[in-house]
Amino acid sequence: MKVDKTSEPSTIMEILMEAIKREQESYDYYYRAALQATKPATRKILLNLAEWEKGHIQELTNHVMELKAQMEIDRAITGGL
Amino acid sequence: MREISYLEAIREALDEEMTRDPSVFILGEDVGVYGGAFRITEGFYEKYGELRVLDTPLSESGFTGAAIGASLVGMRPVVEMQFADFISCAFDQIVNVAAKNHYRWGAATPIVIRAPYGGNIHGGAFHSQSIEGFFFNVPGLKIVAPSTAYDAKGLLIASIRDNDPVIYCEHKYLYRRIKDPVPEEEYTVPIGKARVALEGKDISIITYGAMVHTTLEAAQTLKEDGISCEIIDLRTILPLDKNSIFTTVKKTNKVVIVHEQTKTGGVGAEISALINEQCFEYLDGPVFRVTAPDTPVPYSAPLEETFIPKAEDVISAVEKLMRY
Repeated sequence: MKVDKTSEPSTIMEILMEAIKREQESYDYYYRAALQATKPATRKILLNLAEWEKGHIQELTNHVMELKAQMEIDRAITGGL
Repeated sequence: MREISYLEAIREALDEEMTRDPSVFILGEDVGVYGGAFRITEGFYEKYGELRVLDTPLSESGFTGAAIGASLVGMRPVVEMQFADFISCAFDQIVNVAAKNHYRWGAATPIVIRAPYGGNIHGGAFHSQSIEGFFFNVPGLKIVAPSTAYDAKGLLIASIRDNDPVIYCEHKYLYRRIKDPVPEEEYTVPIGKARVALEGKDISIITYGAMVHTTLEAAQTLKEDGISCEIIDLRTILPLDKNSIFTTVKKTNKVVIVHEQTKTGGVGAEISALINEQCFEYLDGPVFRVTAPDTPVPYSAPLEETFIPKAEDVISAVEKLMRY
């Protein structure tokens, strides 16, 4: 099977951005499901799952911030070469 | 209150002071068209023009000398060393001219030298040094080293308005890694005044710059073990806020000094000597120092990790001292 690799993330930054996007989708999915749930117990579980995904987004965002901070310093040291 | 990064705080301080006072101008390598190596002066060239945002040749001695000359005729220049490591090229101008003008003939020399310093950034021996020790022994200079965005802005404004030469040590590691609340209205942080970054009762940790965050991390762990740390963020290294140092020593009777600079002849050595002279009878144990070892900053990431003091090193020193 031919795989189109052009759309796959290749740098660590792209991977992190893709991961944030997917975590955001998961958050939206659980949150929407929670709104539709009729049983309080089910809603609670779904909201908890949504919160978990939010935590992942925060963690990944921190990684992105750290990476960007280091990239800026690397660029300053090398003059962007 | 809005939160901004350490880097944004420096940029804001420069921008506000340049708007407020037409005698303030910036000079350094790539500060103009390029916006500075770290992008701190991005947009300044377009906003203030080529007469107030000067791109200079690669000659730290030359442009520092030019800044000193300008300050003597009423200007307030802010010099950017691209990396603090390069400040050694301007040593003569800073030490023998800027620092001495007041003593020689009573002239004010209101220049600020911004020095992006410090390691933990994988920059190696020529882009990571802590340079405050080079100048700590020079009467006539002031040295500040903010640890927060709030202080970065307030201390830079105070430095620009000061009539003495100020070396403004801005830690590169903090540029985009920390954010904290910074007022939009004008304020200054006075030079020569330390702050209590964390109140405690069992032991004092005296530190500055990026190490404030390392010691706060250590203090959190130590708190869980029942040890209450008081953290003094010096903010200004020269002149030292002796009153704040002696007050905390008399309160806790135990002192650990933490800095990223190498150990021998460092800021910590002077603080330790001062405490011994002035507060000996209050001490329950020796004054410990947690510092970088006496080597250049390693380029290798694992070696650099060993070089830079970590929370574990602070915890270990505190636990050792608590046994006295």
